[in-house]
Amino acid sequence: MTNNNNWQGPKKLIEKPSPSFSRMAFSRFFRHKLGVFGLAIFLLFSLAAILSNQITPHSIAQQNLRNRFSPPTIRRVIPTGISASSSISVLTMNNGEIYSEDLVFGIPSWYQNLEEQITTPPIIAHEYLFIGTEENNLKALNLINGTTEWKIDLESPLEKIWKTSEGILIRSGEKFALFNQDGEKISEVVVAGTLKRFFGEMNAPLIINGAGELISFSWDGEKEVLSKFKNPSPEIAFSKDKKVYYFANGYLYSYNLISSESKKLGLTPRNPSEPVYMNIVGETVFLAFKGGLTMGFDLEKKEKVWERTHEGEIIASRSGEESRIHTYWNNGRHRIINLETGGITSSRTFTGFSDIHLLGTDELGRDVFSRIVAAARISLSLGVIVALISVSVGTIVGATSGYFGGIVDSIIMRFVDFMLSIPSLPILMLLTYILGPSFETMIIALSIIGWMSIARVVRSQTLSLKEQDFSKAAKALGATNRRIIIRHIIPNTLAPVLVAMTLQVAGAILSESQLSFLGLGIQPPTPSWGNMLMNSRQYLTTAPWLAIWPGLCIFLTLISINFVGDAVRDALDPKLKRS
Amino acid sequence: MWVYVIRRILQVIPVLFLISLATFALLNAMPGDPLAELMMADPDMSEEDLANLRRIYGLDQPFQMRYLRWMEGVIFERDLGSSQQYKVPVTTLIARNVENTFYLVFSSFILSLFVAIPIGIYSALRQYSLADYFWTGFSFFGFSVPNHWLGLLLLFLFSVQLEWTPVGGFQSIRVPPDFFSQLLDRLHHLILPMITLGMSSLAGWMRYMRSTMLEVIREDYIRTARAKGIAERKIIYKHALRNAILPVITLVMMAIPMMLGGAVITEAVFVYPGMGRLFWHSLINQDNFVSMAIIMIIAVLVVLFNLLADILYAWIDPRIRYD
Amino acid sequence: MKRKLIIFFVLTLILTTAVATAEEKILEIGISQEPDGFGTMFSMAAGTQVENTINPTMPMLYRDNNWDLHPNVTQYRPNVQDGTWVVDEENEAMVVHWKLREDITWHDGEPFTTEDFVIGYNITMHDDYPAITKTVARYIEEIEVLGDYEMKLHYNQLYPFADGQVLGFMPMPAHIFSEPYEQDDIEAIVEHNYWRTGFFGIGPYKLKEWVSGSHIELAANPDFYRGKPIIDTIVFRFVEDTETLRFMIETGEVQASINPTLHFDSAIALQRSVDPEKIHVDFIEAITWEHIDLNTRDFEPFQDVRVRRALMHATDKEEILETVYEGVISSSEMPMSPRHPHLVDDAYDVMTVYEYNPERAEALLAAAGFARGPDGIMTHQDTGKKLILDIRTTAGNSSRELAQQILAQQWAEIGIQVEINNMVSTALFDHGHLYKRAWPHMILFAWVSSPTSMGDTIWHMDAIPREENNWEGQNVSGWENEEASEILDEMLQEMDESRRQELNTRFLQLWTRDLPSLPLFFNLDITIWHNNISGIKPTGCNSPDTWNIHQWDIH
Repeated sequence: MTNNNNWQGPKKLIEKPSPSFSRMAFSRFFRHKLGVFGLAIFLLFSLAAILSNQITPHSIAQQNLRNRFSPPTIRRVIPTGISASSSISVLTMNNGEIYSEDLVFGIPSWYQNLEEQITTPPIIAHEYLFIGTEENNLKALNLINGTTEWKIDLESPLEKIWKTSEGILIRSGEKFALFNQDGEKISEVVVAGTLKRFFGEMNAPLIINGAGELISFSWDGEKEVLSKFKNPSPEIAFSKDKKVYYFANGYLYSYNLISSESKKLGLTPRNPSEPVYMNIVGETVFLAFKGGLTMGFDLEKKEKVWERTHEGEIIASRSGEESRIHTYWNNGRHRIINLETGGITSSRTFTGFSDIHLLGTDELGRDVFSRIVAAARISLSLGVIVALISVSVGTIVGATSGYFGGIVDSIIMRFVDFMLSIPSLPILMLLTYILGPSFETMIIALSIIGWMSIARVVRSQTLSLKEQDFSKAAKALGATNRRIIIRHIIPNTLAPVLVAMTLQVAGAILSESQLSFLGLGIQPPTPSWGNMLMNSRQYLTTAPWLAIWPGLCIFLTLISINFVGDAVRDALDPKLKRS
Repeated sequence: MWVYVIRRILQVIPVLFLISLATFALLNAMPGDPLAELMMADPDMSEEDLANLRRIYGLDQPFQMRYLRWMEGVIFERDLGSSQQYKVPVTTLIARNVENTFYLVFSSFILSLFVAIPIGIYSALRQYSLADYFWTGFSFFGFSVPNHWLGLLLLFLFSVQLEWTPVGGFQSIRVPPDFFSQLLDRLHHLILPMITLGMSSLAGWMRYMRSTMLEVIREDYIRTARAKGIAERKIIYKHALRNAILPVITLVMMAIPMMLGGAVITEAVFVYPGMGRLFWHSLINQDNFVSMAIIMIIAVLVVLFNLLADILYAWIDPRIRYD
Repeated sequence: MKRKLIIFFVLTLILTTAVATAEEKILEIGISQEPDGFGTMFSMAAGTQVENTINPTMPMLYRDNNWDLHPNVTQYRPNVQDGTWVVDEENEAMVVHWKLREDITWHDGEPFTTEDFVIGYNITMHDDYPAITKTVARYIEEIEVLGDYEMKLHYNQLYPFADGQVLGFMPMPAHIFSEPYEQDDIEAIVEHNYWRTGFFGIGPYKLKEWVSGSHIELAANPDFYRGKPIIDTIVFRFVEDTETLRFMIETGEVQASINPTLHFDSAIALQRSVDPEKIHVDFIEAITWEHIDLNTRDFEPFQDVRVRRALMHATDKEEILETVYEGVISSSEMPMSPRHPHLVDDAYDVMTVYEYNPERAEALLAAAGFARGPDGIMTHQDTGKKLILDIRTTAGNSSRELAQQILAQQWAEIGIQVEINNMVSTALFDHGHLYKRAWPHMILFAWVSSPTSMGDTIWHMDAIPREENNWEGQNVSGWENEEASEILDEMLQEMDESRRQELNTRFLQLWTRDLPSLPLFFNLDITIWHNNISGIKPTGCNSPDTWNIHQWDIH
């Protein structure tokens, strides 16, 4: 084994303990600050392991891959859009189905089927979900359970809904109309022409119409043409920070609302088709085109940073955590696009720390914290079980061998010597290979390797104990050998065995992680600190934190056990106390 | 004394025999058939080809026959068998890897020794000083840190972030052939694996050196020496150190085979083409004669160093009787 | 005037020296394996790539990136029409007449002649020579030598790829191996360092140095018969750790990487993080077929085609591919690569496609007598047995393990519970496990095929492993279809490619109708190069990507 946890140093003899020995040892242990500290850490880990299901926000069962917003029926109907607030996201389908997802826990929330066609993208505003349905209805749904709170019949088809500070704004026919959250109409204005894009503040609304004019209007009906993007005419636009960014004829432009200047920002796609979607997140312009082309344009560097084509067409999107954007496609796909690279992250993979994911997520979007805790359960129970088995076997063998002496002793000890001279890590690798890697295998293999050192310790104790008066007296009183071993010898070897046992726990945890690191330990998807560490090896440049946490846990466990071991040794054997 | 040494050496031989038998048996108990796996990769391979290969490699023979044949080769021809995968004698195959591992283990051994001993002594002499606390803390760290994690951290910090050291391998190509450049290049590749492998032994020895030194300087003869007015320097280096360092040396002896085992992990982290990595490969590909040879090399070293440590210990400690 | 002349001379001098010392072109290629050796005793992908650079692994015809075949060391490709390939259907025998190029020499200067073929064939056929496969070599009855550069190969059976697509053995340097062969010293041949550090051949590059654990250095062979190589030195560096390899590609420490290279994950990560103008990451569909074999012989419900179809209908391959392979790979509906020469458009018209449709799947299960029990698991109405299926794959293969987990969830939707029970690859593919069907229900793995494989070894009913045939044969799902087996037999003996295509179409129709295994997708071959390198054209099959390495260039 790599770690020299097994070395014992020169063997020291322990005298027959006095009656108050255990109490004294106890108090000595608690005077050992590092020991108490180690014990506290170890207990904390154990507690975390025992309560793993309670303390993790994402239970292991919930960590499956369906834990995403992709209902199974999605591909047979077409989503009309998506809207999200800080806590909930809602996806509506043209057939009237509405799916909602709890964004805090990343799990599906409620489901509604209106059984009529939904014609607009949904808008979450003022604690309601607003949608337009067939027969010119505007509906407001309850965000908590999806029931319809109120609805209004409009004269002409509802084209689009926007959120405003007082309520909502709708475009229906040639009219813009403002409603408050209870469905009362506040004002209305007629602005003719096809609408390309609406943006700006509610008190100073701006639109781009089909003729490429940027028009501002006020709610009393006044209109003013601010600019006419004649050649080229904007195909899609987005406004941000008093600027209108628009895409036209294969180029991205910006229009400054204050200085009224138009600027060409740069060349965009190689083969532009009709743009269908635009969004700006941070400094990145996200553009999607017919035919599945997506593109990222960096406003600072003023250059295209990536370009990718995916199957299908985007119909809706919402910005996600960090620089990610959730896109929904007409073929039913939900793709999360990383705006820095344009790549799809299949789920919430490799996110850093957040409120939802305390330690971030791994390559499959699994919550690292939950896995660490679940792995603690595996690793710690493995360590303890192996130590218990090794101690039981080692004590019995050692006591028998030491007590009977003679031929029994020399056969057993030769065997122990033989076992100890087999190189342990290679043999462990071999054993796990033969037995097939699993939790049980690890226990068996590690116990096979572990009991010898304990047997040695117990034997040397027994040798001295059996010569002492109390065992001789017991023998004289006619006690059987078995009784003497069990009642007199074993209890008195407890002190060094305890020390050896702590080393066993540490050794087993370390060996497990090493074997898992070589791919021979606990097999995924069951998490163990070792296989998490192994997994992190290939993401060392992309997601180094994946390597930090499991390793840190192993380290903390080992160091706390070593502290405890040290304290136990000092407490039980005052002669050895080093200060 | 000599009788004791000879007897211990004689005891070693049956142990090695048993180890070879046990290892051979275990290797043969491995599930799976590497030849059958070849069929997955080669669409032209047929069952007849498989049977033929099995016959050529003697896999159709019973276990005891194969063991005897192997043993015969080892004893009479100093031949460890042929690699099924590489079709060359095992001795030819592993020479290079053994050499690489030797460099790794030897350098990290030297590093640990030359760091651990002086610092251990220093800590003991300046007990309760800030430096002592620091080094004690460091030794706890080194003792508990899992070496694969340490390796990953070092790799991330020095190779990926700072780009000071190469990410893997054991030598660059097209290094000037002069000795000095070659040596530097090797060291450049070795430095991180060396630290990783040496860390736990370094910490262990440091701690042990400190405690034996502390014990020794409390002994009566040191007090007597002090009372006699001998210079403190002389007391420490002439009397105390000599007595404190001997038990450490036996411990150090035992550490070499352990480091050999630990090299498997270190070599895996740093993709260092040593014995451990070869062992891992041969295990997965079930190239059994290669696995066998490597386990036996390590076993021989374990037994040998145990023996050396025992003899050394017996020699140092007159209380041990040679019976 | 004099000064001008001097300047002129000085300039010419500078120019000529500049040309003379023009920088040596060096290309370093990273591969994730170190070859174990060269020649027919070894099977590593890395070995094939490097070996082909030194000595062509397809000597008669080489295959380019479009899978077109071109004469290599021969003067022509034999065919039945002009009589260079004579087929005697009655006696089930063939003769192929070859004429070699006369301008080829081994790297050590010895001429490359028919003698080298004869010794190669003889050694291959020796009982103690451990060639990976001798199957095709066994079809050859004898080599009739008609001169140094002319020979006839006599076949003892009909074999459609005898025109040089598959030769079955390799020519070996007679001036090295004649002597030990005549002394019957096969061990000396097997352990000869020719197969490792002493390897040479007739290819575009000569082996200069092989540092085990580090790299192989190759120097251009100016006499290469297909043209002088452009790059002077090629170094193959062995970087087994993919993270390291990725790092080395990014930093330009290696300028290209060919199969075996990065895993899909790292390749995609690389593609995302690098400038596509600088580094090109090439994905090409390979012919490694990932699928799930169903144990139709021992597990009764799988004998009902409705249950097998239900599983397929409940499998959303798109989701698996999107999650595991980020949508780069497309799914497969059949056990044959879309690039296979036998696959023609007609096949797509006749085969059955099982689209993702969980409702259909449930309906099929209901028809097969299953209904959801109180626990939501499909239970057989008569026997009361639940559909709890064991699925196994190679432990440690993260893509497969991930795919498996998604499958488990997809099938859970139609009430099938899945138990994952993975094993290390040697154990999974062990004869006693895979072939004796020690796996109760399902096993997920891949078959590697080649442009010349027809599926006979995998789908023929005689290839079903049973106790009577000592559990031999690769038809592990146990598909027993007489018509399909007859088609396979016929295809094996059919020289006409268009007829083979027709037969194959019918075969695929039968296969997709019966659905003995669940097809998932074909894996990708990944090749990466810096954009200043030109000429790399990966084949996407088991033919080496180094087929045109002498034309690669660095700018």
